Amino acid sequence: MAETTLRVATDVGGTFTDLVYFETDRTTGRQTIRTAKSDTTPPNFEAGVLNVLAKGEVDIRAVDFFAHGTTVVINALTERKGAKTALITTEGFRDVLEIARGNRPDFFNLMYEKPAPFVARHLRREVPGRISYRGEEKVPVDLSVLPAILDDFRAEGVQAVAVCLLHAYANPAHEAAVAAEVKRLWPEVSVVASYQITREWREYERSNTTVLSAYVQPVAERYLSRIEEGLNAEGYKGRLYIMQSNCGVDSLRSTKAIPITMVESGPASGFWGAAELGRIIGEPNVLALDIGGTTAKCSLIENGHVNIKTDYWIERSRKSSGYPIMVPVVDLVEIGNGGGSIARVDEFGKLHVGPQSAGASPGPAAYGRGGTQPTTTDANLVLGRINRDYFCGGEVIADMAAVENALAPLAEKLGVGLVEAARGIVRIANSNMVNALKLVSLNRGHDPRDFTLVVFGGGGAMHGVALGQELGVKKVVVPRGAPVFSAWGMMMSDLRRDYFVTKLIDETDAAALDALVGEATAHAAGQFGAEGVAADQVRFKPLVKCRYQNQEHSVEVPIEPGPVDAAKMAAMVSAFHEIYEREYTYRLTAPIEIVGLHLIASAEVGKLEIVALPKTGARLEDAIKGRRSVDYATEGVHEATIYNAEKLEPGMSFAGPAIIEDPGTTIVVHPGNRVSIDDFGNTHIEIKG
Amino acid sequence: MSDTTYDPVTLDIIQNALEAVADEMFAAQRKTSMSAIIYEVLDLGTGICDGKGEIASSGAGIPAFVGVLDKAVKGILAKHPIETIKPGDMFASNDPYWGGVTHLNDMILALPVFSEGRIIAWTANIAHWNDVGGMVPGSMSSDATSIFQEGVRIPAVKLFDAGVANQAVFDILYINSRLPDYLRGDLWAGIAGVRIGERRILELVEKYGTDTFEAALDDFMELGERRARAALKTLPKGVYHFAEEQDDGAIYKVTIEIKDDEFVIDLRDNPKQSGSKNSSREGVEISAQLAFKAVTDTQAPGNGGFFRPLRVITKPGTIFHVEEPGALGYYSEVEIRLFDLLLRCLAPHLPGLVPAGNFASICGTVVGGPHPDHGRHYTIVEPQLGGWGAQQGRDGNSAIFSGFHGDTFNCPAEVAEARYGLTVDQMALNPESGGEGEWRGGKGIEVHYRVRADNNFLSVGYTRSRIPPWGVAGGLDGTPNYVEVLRPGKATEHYSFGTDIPLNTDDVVRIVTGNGGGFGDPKQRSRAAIENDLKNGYLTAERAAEIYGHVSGKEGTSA
Repeated sequence: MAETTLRVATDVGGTFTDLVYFETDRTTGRQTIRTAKSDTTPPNFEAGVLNVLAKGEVDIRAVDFFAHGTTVVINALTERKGAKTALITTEGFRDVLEIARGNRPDFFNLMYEKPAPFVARHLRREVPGRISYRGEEKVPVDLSVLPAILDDFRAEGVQAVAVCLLHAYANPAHEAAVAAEVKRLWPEVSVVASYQITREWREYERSNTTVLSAYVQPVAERYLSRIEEGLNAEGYKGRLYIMQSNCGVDSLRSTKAIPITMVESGPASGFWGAAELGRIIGEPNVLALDIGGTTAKCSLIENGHVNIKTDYWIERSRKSSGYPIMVPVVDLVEIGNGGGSIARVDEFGKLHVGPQSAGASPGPAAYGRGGTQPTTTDANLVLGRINRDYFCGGEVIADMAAVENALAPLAEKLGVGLVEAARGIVRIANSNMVNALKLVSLNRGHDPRDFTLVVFGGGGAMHGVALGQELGVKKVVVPRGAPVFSAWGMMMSDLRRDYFVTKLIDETDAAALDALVGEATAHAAGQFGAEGVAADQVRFKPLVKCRYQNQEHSVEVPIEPGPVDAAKMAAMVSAFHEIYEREYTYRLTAPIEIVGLHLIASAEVGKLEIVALPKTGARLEDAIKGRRSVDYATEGVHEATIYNAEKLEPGMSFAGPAIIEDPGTTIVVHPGNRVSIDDFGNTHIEIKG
Repeated sequence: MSDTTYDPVTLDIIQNALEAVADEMFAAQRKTSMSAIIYEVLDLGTGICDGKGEIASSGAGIPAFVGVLDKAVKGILAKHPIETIKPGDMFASNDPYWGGVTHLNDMILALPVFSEGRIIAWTANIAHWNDVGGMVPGSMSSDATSIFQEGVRIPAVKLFDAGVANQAVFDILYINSRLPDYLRGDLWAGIAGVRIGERRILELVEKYGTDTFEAALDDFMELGERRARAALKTLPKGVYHFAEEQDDGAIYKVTIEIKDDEFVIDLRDNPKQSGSKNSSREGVEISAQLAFKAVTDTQAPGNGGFFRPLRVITKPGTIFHVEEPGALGYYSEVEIRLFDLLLRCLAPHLPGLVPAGNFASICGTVVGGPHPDHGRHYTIVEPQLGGWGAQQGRDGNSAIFSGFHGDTFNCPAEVAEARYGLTVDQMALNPESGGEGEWRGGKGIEVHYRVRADNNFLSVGYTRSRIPPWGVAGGLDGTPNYVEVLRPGKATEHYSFGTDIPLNTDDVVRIVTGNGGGFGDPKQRSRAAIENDLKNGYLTAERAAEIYGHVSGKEGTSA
């Protein structure tokens, strides 16, 4: 038995591969954390992972838990670098993928361009056979058409085949038969059928999901195999877990089968981290905000639970209808507003911030690398919120002349001075982010006053307090290690799967609900069992999707796992009315109907237990770096005390105005705020002093 | 107003917040509505007006509803002296002769928001209700000649009076609908929507002050106006006439004059009102607004200020300015015909701003009857997707809702089969030839609904059923919209308008919508594009030879 437990998370991004390493001494409980960064190495990504492990001096043979996150799927989609894909569907429905839903979000614009389907029409082929919405076979499936179809696909160089048949969510028999026959006739081709990914209705969404899954399958499978082989060659003997979009990790084997579930794994790990942090600090209601260089993403965590939905779209905006991916994804809103977002004044004198970004190159004007347009980061420097003498942890000398040159034309267009222009940029950036936070809170029927705002990413702490004040949240918390918070969240994740099943059930039919819950639970237990997780290790959380009869959108009503009888059904129905009324302000006497089930199955797999940091008895005065003048926009200019985050420890507290400087981030504390450091090193900011 | 100057960034922030509020109102109403036409088709609009009823911001939905709410609020203000309007009031209106603009199916709810003793804003929404009574199920009849045949009239009355529900109005609404449960659910969804809007506006007022809030609204209107005027300056000035024959042989005429500071649409020379294909003057203004927006600045806020340079001239008693008691059930086909007429008039003069003609009809389709599996009555009320016209440099979009719709979604076959008990035999692109050009029109759709029970019915209202979508610059015309009913062993029935057509088991409703018009001379189409069309079955070899003079080396895959 080793005396320490080693946990490792690696995160492969577009530019860098990150490592977070936790070593827990089993005797003393003392935890050591190391981080490292090295270049991402396409196309041999495993080399970058091994490099970062070496750089972090990790003995791979001794690691107990290894989690891995990657942007390989979303990159393959947005860069259109997937496999050549074909679709087999029900006779009469090959055009569903092209018809899509017919919507046009940019609705005044007659020059709108509808997004093109990922599979051209000649590669969308049909098979006879029909299943009804109740899952009954109406017309048997005719597999005899497949050889000719596959001959055409081979001739066209198809690499992956998606199969999506009508009502396969209710009965996958035809789909399974088609997929098996394709595999038999053409063993080399990659095949995926819709029922393997989702059991929900809506043929366009399911078809597109299956197509995109097939499209990324070969590239993702190759990627995952090489990571696995690379680690095994270095002597890793444990299991490799892959971060998913539903805030859980999943096994390598399962992820290889359906890699599309990784599509939003990056943001998901951060939001899971926020949920876990909330649990540790006793704040179960969390608004989580991740501000990076180009975008800000937010999500709402209620009573410790992240909201997982299957209503996820890529490339969807006010200008485009985008593409649906019907897999479990954490409910998030993303906007083009980060530290590198460019500010501009339009021809009508209106100030805008983002979505254009200066990116990593040239970056904000202050980097002195040729950036000529002012960014949010530049504005924060002008206002003294970022320390110009400690820019990027002191690694970069802020080019204030470049900042002023970039800001001057904008200020002139607005008819104000540089400082006033910088205030305007910060206020507009904050307004954009507040509206995004409202989308996940108010627009979903939640009151921000019941929530704690947890901010992370490089820019979260800079804007967090201003946003929290605007929204009226209880308090703002900046986690320790906010810049690597996503990797921390990965370390805290459970093995988790979300199962969504569409099934129409009457509110009085307890037997039907019992059967649905029973089948889904058994299916999940079987899958976990196949991976060596014992049934008693798996936690089940069934959520019944209900609505008033004839409505479309359902709410999720939690029930206890286990059999459903009439009494449980009645309790569920009365809980439905309460949940519905809380979200929508009224209730009806109308009958309700069940439209399906969302079953969460999870098991702990070596999750990290965070222990309190030691107190050394250091004095707060020793953490003070000095004082400087900081512009708080609408709250005016104040002399703020500057603290060194690395010298703050549990139990310390002080009042704003203040700035807390960490090599990776800057916390802006407003006048009247009260700051305290908790046992785990997180910074709590009470808004009202 | 005082001469206070306001911080421009604060005004921006309030304006951004107003858009967020309209979106929140939309999200709330959509999620709680009971009828598919609201929550799925999104035949729904939300908005915030200033105290005088000018539209300030609107939630997503359909563009044809954006301009309705201001006119409805102005109708309320015209009827109710300002001193009789109290905090806690909420108005309901569906009557086009009392500011309701569209037709009786569309119910508008409007709530005055008070601060410092005055109305500082209105929150309002409009949604299509499945059935409000009248002579036919679904309330819209192509046979109606008077509004009294089209359902219950709610002439801008108080639904709530100082916070107290006016139960009589609720009772009258419920008793007049064939689908009272749907109506109740949709009504309460609308009530929740305007109330959420009010709460959010009051929060803004509390934070920034009443004066600043009102200044932000005024500034927003001015921004709209400035953007419209800037775009207007770039358009070629002149007087443009156009006349177009309609499916029924009527001739619609328009004169558009583009001046430096005004965009004038003259519609006086048009047919007298008749039947149910008429529009209110306010409805006609909406068509004019949409065309104006499309050719000026599509990304500017579509608020009251933006439309200030637009002037519409109509003549009472014509189809474009119906007088009481004319019927308006199919007002939308009149409005969309006008919208298309305006674009067609402008297309030759505004290159690069207007694509070739699209299928340009709501293609309203109503199917109803007992569900074969449980007997409960169902009603489908849906617009159709169709083909859009080509434009310089690009083929037209296939299968997309008309220019009157926006973020509207079609009904998935899997949902339709469960909810309505129909069998959807196919959902395909329209294979008919037409709309060729250097760039070709997008494809319409061909959908087959097979009825599984007796005693169902069908009502349809399609235009562009004889006169096809128009090509531009030598591009060919597209193909028409129509519906056929195929009954086992009977001759095919062809429809463009029809009310209460009986349907029985195994009858098939074949919905066909037009392929869009082409752009440019077909002879200029690239060989690669033609071969791609052949390979993908968008074009037959015969048609390729006939129109493009293209002889294929090898046979393409055909549909």
